[in-house]
Amino acid sequence: MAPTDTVSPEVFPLFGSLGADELALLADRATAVAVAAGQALFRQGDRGESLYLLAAGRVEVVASEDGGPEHRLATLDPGAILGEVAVLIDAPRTATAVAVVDARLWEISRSSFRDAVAGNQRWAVVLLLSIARVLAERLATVDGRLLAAIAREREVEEPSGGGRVAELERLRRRLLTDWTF
Amino acid sequence: MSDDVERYIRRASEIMDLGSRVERLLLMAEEEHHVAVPIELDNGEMAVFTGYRVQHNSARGPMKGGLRFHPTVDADDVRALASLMTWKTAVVNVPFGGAKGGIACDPKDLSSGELERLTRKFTQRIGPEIGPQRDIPAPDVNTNAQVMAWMMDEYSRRYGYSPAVVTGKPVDLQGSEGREAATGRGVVSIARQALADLGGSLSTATVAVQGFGNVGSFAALLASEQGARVVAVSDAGGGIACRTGLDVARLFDQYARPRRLLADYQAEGVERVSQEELLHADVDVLIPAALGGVLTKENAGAVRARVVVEAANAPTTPEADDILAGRGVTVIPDILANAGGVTVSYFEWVQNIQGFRWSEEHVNRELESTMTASYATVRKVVVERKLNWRTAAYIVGLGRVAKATVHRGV
Repeated sequence: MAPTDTVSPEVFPLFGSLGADELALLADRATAVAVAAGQALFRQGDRGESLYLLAAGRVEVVASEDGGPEHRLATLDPGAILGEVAVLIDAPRTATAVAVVDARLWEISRSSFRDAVAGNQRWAVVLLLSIARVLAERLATVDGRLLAAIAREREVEEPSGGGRVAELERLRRRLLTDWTF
Repeated sequence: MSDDVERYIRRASEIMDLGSRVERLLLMAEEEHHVAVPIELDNGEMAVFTGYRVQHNSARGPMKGGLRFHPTVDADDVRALASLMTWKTAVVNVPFGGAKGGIACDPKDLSSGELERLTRKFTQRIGPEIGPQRDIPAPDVNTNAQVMAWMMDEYSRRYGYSPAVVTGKPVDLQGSEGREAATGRGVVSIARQALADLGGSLSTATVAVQGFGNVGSFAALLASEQGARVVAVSDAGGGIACRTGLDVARLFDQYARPRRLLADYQAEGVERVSQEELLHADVDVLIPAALGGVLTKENAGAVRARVVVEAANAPTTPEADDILAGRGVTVIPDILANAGGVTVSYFEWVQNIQGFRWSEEHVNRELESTMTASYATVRKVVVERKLNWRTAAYIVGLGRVAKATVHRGV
């Protein structure tokens, strides 16, 4: 079980390099939050003011498009960061976070985080780098999915199964680009 | 021969990655017509001949191809020749597809009257399948301007005056100036361009011509008129050679019109040579202008010419082609080299459709322009893709037909 009184480097390896005093500065800024199984930590569209560090339990991140059915985007385990977009930009929550089992989290407000970054506190810099890494990884995943989606869209236009019209269309394009004379 | 053409098409198709279905579409003939042609012989008996017309591909326009009278004519033969016409018209970019026809008969055994009745009956039977916008026959082996005149007349009786239904007609009957010399003229144009590419010049080149029929005699005459030294020519009876150059103008006058065997030709410095010796002559340009399959794997290794210009259809077997390529001999393929004939056939058709007569100078100028453009197009593929001339020419032909096909849709 993760300790409840402090942000433990055992649960959050990203803080492994921080000294005790630096961890204490972080603890000052972090507020403990408990969410019961089935309850939402925040909802898509809410105004976001803080990020969370998941200390215990499990949280599912879901989102829907224009009120449609919800799609599960991620299932997070202890050590995860969530809601990080809110401390970077003032925008509504892009997803809903629901506790799958009872969860405990550390909440850090946008203003606390920004003050700490401005004050060059190491925990904030470490966290900022970590958020940047998470966003970068997510962007890479999204890019991959986007490419796959574009490829699927093309597939729909040009079924590779060999409709004759599509075959001729592909041939036509190739002839007109590769074999100009 | 049919296997060879198919092999060249498959090779080009593979390089172009056309795919097996499109390749199959392009190889297959659109329509094949077999007709019985009964006539009354001069002795009162009836004879029935078999006539063929294979319409290979019409993607690029009305189909065009010769009509031959020969005992060995059969469906396979005609089919392959029809396919060849599709690629040939495409290589020189005249707006025609390919067709070919024939009647299995030996014209030597038929009187002029019997030939006329045969031609007219065949035209009646095949009439619904041909036409100025559908399929336009032309002279071929053992057929000539007179046969075309009979066809035009017979067709016009039923369908109204239609000079554009056949080409190669007599000049006095809506034929074109320059048609007779056209294939030979195209061959010489190609030889001149090929030599120039190799840093040489036709005006200083030596030439050997196998065959002294319509194509060979005009090729020899025009080459010599442009300064080339024609050192050897041959016909079915053998060849003659002269290191300092033959008097081609005299040969042309005395042996080409009317045809006579060269065997009795006498002149100072002229010696007799065999067909094989002619093929192996030490010349810049070798022009096989007679039969198919004369350059084989047995004799190709001894060819000394820098350039072989295929005036005949398929004079080089694929094995010989590879041997010549390996020895650095440039072989300009039939579908480019001898396309001057179909090009001027196209001009004849254009004049018939226009109802306007072109001068011989105009015909020759347009022919030269077509042969120059076609040579340049194939050359571009040769250079850019590092291919031999035959493969490049088939790629140009296949590419144009494939483009027309996909533009039109199936």
